[in-house]
Amino acid sequence: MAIDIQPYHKKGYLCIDDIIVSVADYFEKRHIFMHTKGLNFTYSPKIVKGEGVLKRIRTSCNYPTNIKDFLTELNYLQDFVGLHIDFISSLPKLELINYIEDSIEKNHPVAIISNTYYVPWHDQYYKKVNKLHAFLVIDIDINQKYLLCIDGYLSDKPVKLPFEDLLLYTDILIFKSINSKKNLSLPNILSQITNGLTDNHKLDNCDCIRLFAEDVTNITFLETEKQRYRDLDHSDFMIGLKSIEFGRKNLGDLFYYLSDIFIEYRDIMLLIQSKIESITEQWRLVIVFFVKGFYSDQTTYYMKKAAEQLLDIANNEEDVTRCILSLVHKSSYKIEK
Amino acid sequence: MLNNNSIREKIDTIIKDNVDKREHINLEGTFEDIGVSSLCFVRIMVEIEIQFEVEIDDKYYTAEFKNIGEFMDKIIDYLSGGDSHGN
Repeated sequence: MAIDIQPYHKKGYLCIDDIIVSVADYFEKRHIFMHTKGLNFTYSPKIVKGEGVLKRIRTSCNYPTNIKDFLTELNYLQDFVGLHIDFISSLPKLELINYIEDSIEKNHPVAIISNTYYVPWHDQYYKKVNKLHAFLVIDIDINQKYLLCIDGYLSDKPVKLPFEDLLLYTDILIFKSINSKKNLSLPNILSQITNGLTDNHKLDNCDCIRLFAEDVTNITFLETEKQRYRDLDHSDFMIGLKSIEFGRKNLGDLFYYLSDIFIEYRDIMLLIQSKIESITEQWRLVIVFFVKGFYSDQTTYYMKKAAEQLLDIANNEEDVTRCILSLVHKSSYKIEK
Repeated sequence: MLNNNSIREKIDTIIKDNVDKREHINLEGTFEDIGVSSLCFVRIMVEIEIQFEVEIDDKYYTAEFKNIGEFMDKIIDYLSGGDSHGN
């Protein structure tokens, strides 16, 4: 029995975002609360002068820079979205097929974490580019030996994955619908945002962005990188930066949404939203400077411009954090009263 | 100085060079429709800068264009001095 999930894609979403929205909609959950981590920022390892960045360095907003941390990082979806996610690593092929069949029977959608090299409907990357990619399985045909999948990031129709294209050992995510663990109160939601910032060492100040700015001035693009990443879409570094830009935008959208629910705080929430909107534009410019630096042979000039923009972003994100903290105090005080 | 048709032709070539050969460029469509990602869009802009030896105002990099036709018109206007390279 197939799971009736429709493909979904929104500009700026990563494949995992599309999956979460598709599953949340299927279980009639409010996926907007997946955006509470939108002000986060991480990058690793540190940029070293003279070494490449596009392959080595990972930048990230919502998701960990290391896949091993995936499950812990997705736990927050239990609080307000109401999704419980299990992460099972390195299942042998036969076990994987049995597991998927069983999960679909139980109405638990499964996402396969694969590699674009083995994704036949990825015209650009199939048998060419190795990149992490995830998609949902909605049905399985044991006789014809294929999985019926939903990959909104790449296709608006269901696609077939022959068993032969399954990796020998594959990681999967299993989604289960649960009752949201926390009450939908403003202090609770804000606390999820501030907890995320604490985890990123970004609640007290945005020095992590300032350090990144300092590092950015040391960026040089190696000739080998220029050949390999002619299409910058292959680079995790750049994809991470895009997710940071859209993470901000999505958090702004969340504040807009909340302003309609908690109307007594509407003004301050709309103010926060407009501040985040400007920051989103600034991140977009940072990306523009990176891309210009990469293609134009004026790397030093554009990295300096990117660094200046990042320093300004650090100040502005500190300002937004202060506004959020002020809202935390106001809303908690009101409840205590 | 290049006339608008000649600028349009050069921009058209740059866009075509950055998309799959099978794609047809429809001025009413968006860049996303022809598989141009936001990073690829910036590359197109950089190639336009190199081709015309100008530094295009940052606002054109972050602007949302309704479709490719609107993008072409605005960039041509900018390159031919119609936008006074400002506002």
